[in-house]
Amino acid sequence: MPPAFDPTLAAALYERHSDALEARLAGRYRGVDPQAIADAVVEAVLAAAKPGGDASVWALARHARDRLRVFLRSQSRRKRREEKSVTTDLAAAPSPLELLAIRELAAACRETIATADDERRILDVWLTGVTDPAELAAKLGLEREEAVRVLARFRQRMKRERDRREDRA
Amino acid sequence: MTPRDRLNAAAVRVAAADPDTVGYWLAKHRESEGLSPAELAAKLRTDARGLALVSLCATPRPEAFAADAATIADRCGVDLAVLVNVLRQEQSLAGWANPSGSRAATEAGWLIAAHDADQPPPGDADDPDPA
Repeated sequence: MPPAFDPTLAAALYERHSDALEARLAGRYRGVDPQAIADAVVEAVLAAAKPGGDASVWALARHARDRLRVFLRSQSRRKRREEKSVTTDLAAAPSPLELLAIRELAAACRETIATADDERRILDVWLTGVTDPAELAAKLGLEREEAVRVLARFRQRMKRERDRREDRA
Repeated sequence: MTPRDRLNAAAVRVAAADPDTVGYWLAKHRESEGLSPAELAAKLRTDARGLALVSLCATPRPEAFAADAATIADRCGVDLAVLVNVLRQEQSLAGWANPSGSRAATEAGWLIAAHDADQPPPGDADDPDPA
């Protein structure tokens, strides 16, 4: 006989287990975005409360951990894509001529591409020829990931600026 | 922001993407009425915790709507009349706006809505689930 339908099962599980699950994941995955941990806990609770779901503590913990791992894997893939894209577009510079064109464009629309002071600092160093994110980060005292992110941002803005210029031409 | 605040925010956000939850309909209501989570919580006469709890609850079954809604309101500490009104309003709008829904289903939805309008408020009903 199937269990009686309880529309508040997820709320009850959330009240009973979410704090402990959150603390366990936060302790095990230090440095991970706390919001991602909270999302994983809630997703596990909702899954456990579905018809046929396993509402045991172990199942909840396993499901929350799995959800978080999925998130971390997708985040890692996205980072790799960003880095690859930066490497291709900015750091590796397909050819000296293309790099020159990119630099000229970047210099010409410096204010459009780098809107904040710290971005302008990064762009100015990049324009001097320091294109490796690690080297750039070391020169400016930043985390490498931060340099990668800012360069990815530049790349997007430069593409938009290039498209705008081509539309105008 | 404390871990509890983050969990409450996550409950509201994650449930908003799941049509099987009350949170899905509450998110639609927030969107259509331009309410912040805090404003919606106030409307339901609850706080962030209550809003998180009610968001996670399963959408009341059509055949036991009043009983399910009463259970949810009681368990989560929200105003039953407001909860019922919000759910009915958003479900009627969704049925009306759904282009894939058949004409008969849409008309049935309106008939149910009209029928409900003649009923006393859920809090006043002797039998919350006449079905």
